[in-house]
Amino acid sequence: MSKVRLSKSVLFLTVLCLVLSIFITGCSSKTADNGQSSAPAGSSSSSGSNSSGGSSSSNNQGTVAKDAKLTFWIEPDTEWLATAKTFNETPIAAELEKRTGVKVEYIHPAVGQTREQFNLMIASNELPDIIVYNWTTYPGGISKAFEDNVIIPLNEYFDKGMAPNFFKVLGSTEFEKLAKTDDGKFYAFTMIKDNDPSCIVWQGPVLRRDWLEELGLEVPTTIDEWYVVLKTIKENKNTDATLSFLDSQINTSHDFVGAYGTTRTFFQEDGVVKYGPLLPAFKDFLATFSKWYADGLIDPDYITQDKKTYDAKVLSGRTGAFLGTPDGYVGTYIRLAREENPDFDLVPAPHPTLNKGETPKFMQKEFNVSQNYSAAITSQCKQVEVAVKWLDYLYSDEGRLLLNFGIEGTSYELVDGQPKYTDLIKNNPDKLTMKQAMARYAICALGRWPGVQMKEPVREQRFYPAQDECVVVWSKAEETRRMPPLTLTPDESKRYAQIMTEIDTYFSEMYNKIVTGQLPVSEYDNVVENMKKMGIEEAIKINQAALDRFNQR
Amino acid sequence: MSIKKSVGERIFDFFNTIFMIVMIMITLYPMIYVVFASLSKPSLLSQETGLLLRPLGFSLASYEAVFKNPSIISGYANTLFYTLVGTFINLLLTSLGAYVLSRKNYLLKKAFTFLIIFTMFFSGGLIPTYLLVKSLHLIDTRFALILPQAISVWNLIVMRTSFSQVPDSLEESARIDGANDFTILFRIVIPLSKAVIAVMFLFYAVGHWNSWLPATIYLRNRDLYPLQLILREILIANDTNNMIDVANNADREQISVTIKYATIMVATLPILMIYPFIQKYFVKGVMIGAVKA
Amino acid sequence: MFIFPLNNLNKHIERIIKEGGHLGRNPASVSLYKTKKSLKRTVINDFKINKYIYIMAIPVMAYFIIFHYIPMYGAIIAFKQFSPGKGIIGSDWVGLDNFVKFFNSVYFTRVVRNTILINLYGLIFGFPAPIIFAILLNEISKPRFKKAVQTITYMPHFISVVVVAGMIVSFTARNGFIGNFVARITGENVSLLMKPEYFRTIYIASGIWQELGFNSIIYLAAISSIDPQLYEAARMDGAGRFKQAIHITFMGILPTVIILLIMRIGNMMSLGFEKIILLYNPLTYETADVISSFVYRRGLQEFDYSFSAAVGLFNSVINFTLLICANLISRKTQETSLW
Repeated sequence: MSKVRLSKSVLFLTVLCLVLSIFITGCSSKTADNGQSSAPAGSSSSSGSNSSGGSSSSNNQGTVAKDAKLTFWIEPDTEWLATAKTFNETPIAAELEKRTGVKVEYIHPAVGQTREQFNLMIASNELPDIIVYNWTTYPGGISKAFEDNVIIPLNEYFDKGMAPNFFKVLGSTEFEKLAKTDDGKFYAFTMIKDNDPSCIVWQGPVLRRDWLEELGLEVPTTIDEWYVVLKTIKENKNTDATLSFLDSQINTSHDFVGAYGTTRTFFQEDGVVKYGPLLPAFKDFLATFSKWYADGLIDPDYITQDKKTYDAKVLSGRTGAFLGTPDGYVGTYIRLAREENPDFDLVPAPHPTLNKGETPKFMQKEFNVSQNYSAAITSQCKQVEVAVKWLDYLYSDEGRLLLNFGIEGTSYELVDGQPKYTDLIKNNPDKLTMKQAMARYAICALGRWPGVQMKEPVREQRFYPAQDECVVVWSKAEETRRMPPLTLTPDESKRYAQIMTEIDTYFSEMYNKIVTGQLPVSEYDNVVENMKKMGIEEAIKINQAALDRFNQR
Repeated sequence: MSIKKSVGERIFDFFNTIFMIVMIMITLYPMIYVVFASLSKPSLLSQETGLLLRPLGFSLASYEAVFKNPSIISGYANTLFYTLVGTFINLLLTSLGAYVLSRKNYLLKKAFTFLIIFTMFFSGGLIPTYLLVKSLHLIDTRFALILPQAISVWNLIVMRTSFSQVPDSLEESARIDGANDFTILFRIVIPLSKAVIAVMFLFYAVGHWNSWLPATIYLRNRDLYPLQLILREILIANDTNNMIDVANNADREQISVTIKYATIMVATLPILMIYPFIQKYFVKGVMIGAVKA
Repeated sequence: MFIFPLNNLNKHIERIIKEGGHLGRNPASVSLYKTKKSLKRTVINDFKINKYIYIMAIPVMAYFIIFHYIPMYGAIIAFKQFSPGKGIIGSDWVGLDNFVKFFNSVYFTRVVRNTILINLYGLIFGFPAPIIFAILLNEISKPRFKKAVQTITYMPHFISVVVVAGMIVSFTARNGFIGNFVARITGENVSLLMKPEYFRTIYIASGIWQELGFNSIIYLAAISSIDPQLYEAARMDGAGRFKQAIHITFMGILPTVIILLIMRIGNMMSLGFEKIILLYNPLTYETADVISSFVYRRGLQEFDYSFSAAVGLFNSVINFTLLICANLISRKTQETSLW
């Protein structure tokens, strides 16, 4: 029994020691800057009184306010998390503060918990001044966010001309609508990507260039050519996963199915909403794809494999063709593979068509006014004008340069009047990867911050010719059929969510059963009938109504 | 005292030992895989899908990268705090509760039992609990990770079951000597229940060590984040399966796979070391002396 | 201490007490039995006698009231259409709408059936496994080997589900060693996770592998509290090791087993989505799609707190009912029960 007492007091002492040690480590745990910049850490007490910080004094946007404070909520990014605990600790934050005179406190949810913490924050009614979020995912739609008094419409501030830079950039896109709700209210400063394919074209088919050359094959452009190429690769290279992709990729891809003039989800043609799987041409696509599967050209594991297995197949030569993106796939694979096999090379293929010379009807292209990373001003912001002007600064020429290239002399230099990254970014002495370094100095270049993502830094991240080719090749397609992001009314969205969860479940089951040969293609007529019974036509109508409203914004 | 074993018994022992060896192999292998993977070269590991029998090209780079992460050290310190302080509070409150529920013949017994078990099934959910913790001014403090989960009903029930099997005779004789319930709990019941308390210590400690979800709810300051949350951030940073915005995230550069494995090793190794220390409480016959006394 | 045999000793003592015997009296029982004057008197007496019990109960009940009962009003979210901006109190009432939406779903029967089946098979195979393992381990005579087995077999519990799922995907792939093995038997070489008929087996078997060691700890602790003299006595009576294992070891931990079984039955509708999501795919939806994964996909369309709260409440009600039934049965047939 005294043992119990003894061990309890030992426990107490240990705990005491730990608590002390934590306070000590806690105070000293503000990590020293890994980079070069002598920027003060976020705990600096000299607040906005460096209003003289307008460095490029010729630009009258240099100073926004004196002694102003804003709180800014945004999801953290693992790239800068590698070297800083909050965004406050990055050099770019310090420079922003210097130039605008506004002290911004950055608040972040935990990685991967953005939506949950967003909801908690709203429900507990403790709102920061600015929230960066994908506002189209607010339950009930953006209008509901206004209705619930979470964020405020920005029209009155825009009308007073307080955000000239944002408007200039926005106006150069045909999608000013994307920053508004159906009833014309501007809701946020959205992230805008340069209207250049390098920023917004993102996925397409890729093949092993070295194998094509070896086998004397041309890059395939039509479905029939693909069949021949895949067969030849399989026979000569003994691949067991000739054409491979992840289930998540093929679900969002228009490739192969696009050749038939349809796709796996909703699209629009001349303002009319259609659901791809209902079109008769979809059955033709299924016939082709299931034949490819039966002939062993498609990776039988496509539906079960995870990314690690998929990577391994490409790198070890079990796959000759796959779906990929310029950076995460093409760039990474080439880099990793060449360490062991210097001949490894990839080449992008155009989106397949049925007939030679046709232009593909679908492109994997985002809208350059993005829905992610939209900065809205909340109803609890006490200094709305400061917030508007500060956010507007991000879109100014100076702000853009800062957020895409960083600080002159440190992270970029002017070469022939064009900014180019220095070795701090490209060959970081502390062994940071390029993306990690960019996240500290040029967060907008990564596309993970409100503001403008310029095309030059995006291009600079691409070292291999294959990557640039991807963008060129995949841009040669029609882009008119994509659906813009729509806003549904709360009632519509309830109905829609319920119908589509079921239809998606049903469709994905049936589709995959047919492709893998468990069900014959003839069964597809039944599938279409069943989807109609499950309410797909109502879903189409809902989308149509939303699209009409969108077009009239 | 050696008793001769029959042939049947010897055969059984033989197969039992083989069985245990097989069990060791199949449970040890994944940890070995993780160790080997964490020491491999990323380019080689990415190509390999089968079993690993050794590290593929030796490289400590992943461990370097992990320890460079500014949050790993603070994560460790925090988790140590949560585990030790949290487990202490857990054991204290759970023992009190188990004792109370194991006593007989007092009016509110059934009420207490029902009220407690009811909370295993029904709760208000995330938002009200968050609002409550907020109103207690615990948000963004370390105690937010300790107090709201101070008692696990499952553990409480198991402990209660154990406490109620301490013979009444011991309690009786103690009362005659003038002992009150506190004395009985701390001087009789707990010492006789060392095995179950050791197990509860393990369960609670492991629970704290592995916990990450409450931290995402109640903490804002990354300096207070536990280790598992940091680990999870690294592991899911590139998991495209869960990404809602596929376009924006499909292009994320793969964090080296070896870093993932290194992070697992770093986070798991310490807690694995705990078990041998509490095993001594499972030695047979630990309570015999007490009854005879 | 989970000592079944000592209960006999206990009952003996109780009998003596009741007969007013020499081992002392339990004041509470005596006064309650004898003096049944008024209810008020009983309450005051109870409080006087059991004063310390109630004092001890204060921090414990305070915890439950503060952290569990005060927020419990939030359960009404299932009957409302929750909007974060309005908060729980301010959101509109919709009555049973959310439940109806769930019940009317085309896939309702399927997901409920899959949830129950996976949990049921998990119970049938997964519940006895750690018990048997603990008993077998108990028979190992070399203490160092025994300790080593214990320490190593509990390691998989700590590997995160993401890593375990990755391993499963690897091993059950066409060229994975399990995939190969099965291919040799069935003649068909496919990734095993494509087959709905294999899903439950893979899910449950991997769960058993991962949790066997950890779950056996509590049984090992129980076994360690068994009086060695009982084994002696049994041996004298000529019982072989097998009989000892059943009548002493197993019977000795029976109360623990029963309590844990009851609590497990009270979890029959709960099945976490993380592992399911990592392992399932559209081809296996018919056996793998469970309530939580279905709600998760619904949440990807549009995140609806109220809907998931309603489903959660539905699950809890069923779980609680099952628990009460299991407890009742146990009370009638064994002597151990939760209350």
